[in-house]
Amino acid sequence: MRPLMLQGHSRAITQIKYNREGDLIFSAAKDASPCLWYSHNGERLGTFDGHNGTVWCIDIDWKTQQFLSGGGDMTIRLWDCETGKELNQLDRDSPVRTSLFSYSGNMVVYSTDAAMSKPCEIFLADVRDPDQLGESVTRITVEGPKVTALLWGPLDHTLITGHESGKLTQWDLRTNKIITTVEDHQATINDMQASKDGTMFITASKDHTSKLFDMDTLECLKTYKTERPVNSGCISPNLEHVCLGGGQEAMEVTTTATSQGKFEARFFHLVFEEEFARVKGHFGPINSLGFHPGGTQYASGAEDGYLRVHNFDQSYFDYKYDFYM
Amino acid sequence: MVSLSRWADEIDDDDFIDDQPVAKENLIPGKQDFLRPKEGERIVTEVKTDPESGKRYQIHRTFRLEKKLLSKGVIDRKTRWSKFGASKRDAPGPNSATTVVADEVLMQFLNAKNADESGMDDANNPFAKLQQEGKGFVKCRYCHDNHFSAKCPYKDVAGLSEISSVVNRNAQMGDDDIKKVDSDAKPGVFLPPALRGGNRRGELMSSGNQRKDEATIRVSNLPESMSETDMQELCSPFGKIDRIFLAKDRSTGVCKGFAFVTYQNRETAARALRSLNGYGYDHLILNVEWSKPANN
Repeated sequence: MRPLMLQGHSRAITQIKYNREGDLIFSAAKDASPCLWYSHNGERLGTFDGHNGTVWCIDIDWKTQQFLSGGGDMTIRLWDCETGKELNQLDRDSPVRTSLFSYSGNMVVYSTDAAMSKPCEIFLADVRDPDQLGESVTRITVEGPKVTALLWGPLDHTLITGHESGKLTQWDLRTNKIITTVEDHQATINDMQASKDGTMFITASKDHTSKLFDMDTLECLKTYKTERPVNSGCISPNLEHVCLGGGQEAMEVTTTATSQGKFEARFFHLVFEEEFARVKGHFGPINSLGFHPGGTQYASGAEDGYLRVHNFDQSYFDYKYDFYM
Repeated sequence: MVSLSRWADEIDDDDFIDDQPVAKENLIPGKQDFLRPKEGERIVTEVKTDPESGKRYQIHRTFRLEKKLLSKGVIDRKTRWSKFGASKRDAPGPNSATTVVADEVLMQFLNAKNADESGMDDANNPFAKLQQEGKGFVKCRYCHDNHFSAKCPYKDVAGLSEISSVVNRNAQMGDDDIKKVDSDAKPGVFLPPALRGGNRRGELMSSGNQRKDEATIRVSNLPESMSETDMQELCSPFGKIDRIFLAKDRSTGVCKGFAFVTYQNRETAARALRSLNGYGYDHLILNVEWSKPANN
């Protein structure tokens, strides 16, 4: 396959996301302007200009009308997808680490870092009217390690947070109380992505593993082991595959050869937990991965500042995993 | 594709070029040849003038038309949305400054499991089968036995010309004698030449090299920037050199600070040792001693 290489960012990519139909890719980096791309030809549609620092987290609503971004400049911003205009912006006391639209697109949730003697907090707001972004419906102060990854549970009733210590917590949004906490991971959860039907999700952790959890019970279903920190993982929407990306710590990259860096995207079988394919290309660790909702394409954003969009060859679809009953 | 001049076929037919913005009189005559679009293709023609040479040339681009069913939202976003932000001034279509088609990469499938399984076991190996059945279709050149010549246990015993006599002799000798001749050579096991004739692993093949050992000096405390040519210059005034080994880091190529120099005889080596030991070279004082044979 010949990947499209998108060079819209001047610094390391932090997060990439497809919209629901998969025709657009949104990307954020440690520079201040998230980008919007057409996924089929890599054409850049625009940039969302306004942030004053690293953009850590982005999300798109169900209808691809609004775009949410939060960053190191301690703001959370709501944008219009079509025009790139800022609809609202809100200052917080510490950097915004994670942000998500709910499935309906009516609510947003975002979390802030525990920094500058401010605690880590989770905010919920109703954004049917963008002006209401500041009127938080719920505000939860998180005790202990800060939130590094976030997901909505089924029907937006619950919230699942991944923490710096590796623990996963499920929150009841009606009472704002913790339902379950599991500690399957030993180090920071870098990323969490739900499967297409939302029944399970995959975590990516610094403890060199990625795990598959049941969305409802937080039961660990599968473990995918690698020999390096995993930065991002995603589940194929139509095949029993997961894709993991990672590599060594960003600070160690300059001191090792590219060939040793292990910057490939790695494909594992969802059920058998066994790696079956790799795709090379980046010369920095992959920070974020996304599967096209149709399963025909995947995109990766890395520490090298590039986004690579891969359309799968027929050989990928022809590949049959051998197993014996 | 820049069209080539085709003198033979001057076809002038508008049907070949569809809805092109180029007026017909601007087209270069005779350059529309063979451009008959296939089913589901469209050819777009463009005429350009090179500003330097003033040459006009015509570019035909062939597009394959694909039909896709898309949701209304996707069509809306593809057709109606205009570019904004840093891309506001970009022309329609991908901008080569931000979008590049990267080099071909292949998905590497890891099927180590399959590779193991494909190795033939004895039951499937036709040669092994034949051997088991005792059919003499493989015949050794040396001893005429039922195996390949390369696997013959006697092949190193004597020169090729003496084959038959050796075989005969061995046939007369007892088993113990054969073992003595080639103690390590088990039938069918390859022995590197260095290990033949009772040499142990790590030992040098011939005693000739051991003789050279005594004309070898070890020079240490060399600067990091030392190269083989520098070493040559440093050591050659004392006599003829057989071999210089400069220890270097395998990955960086930087000198590790020591070298072995083998002279042709021990006297010149001794002379070099006397002169170079304590010699100041590139702000370092060299240390030279006789090289010690590697202890096994």
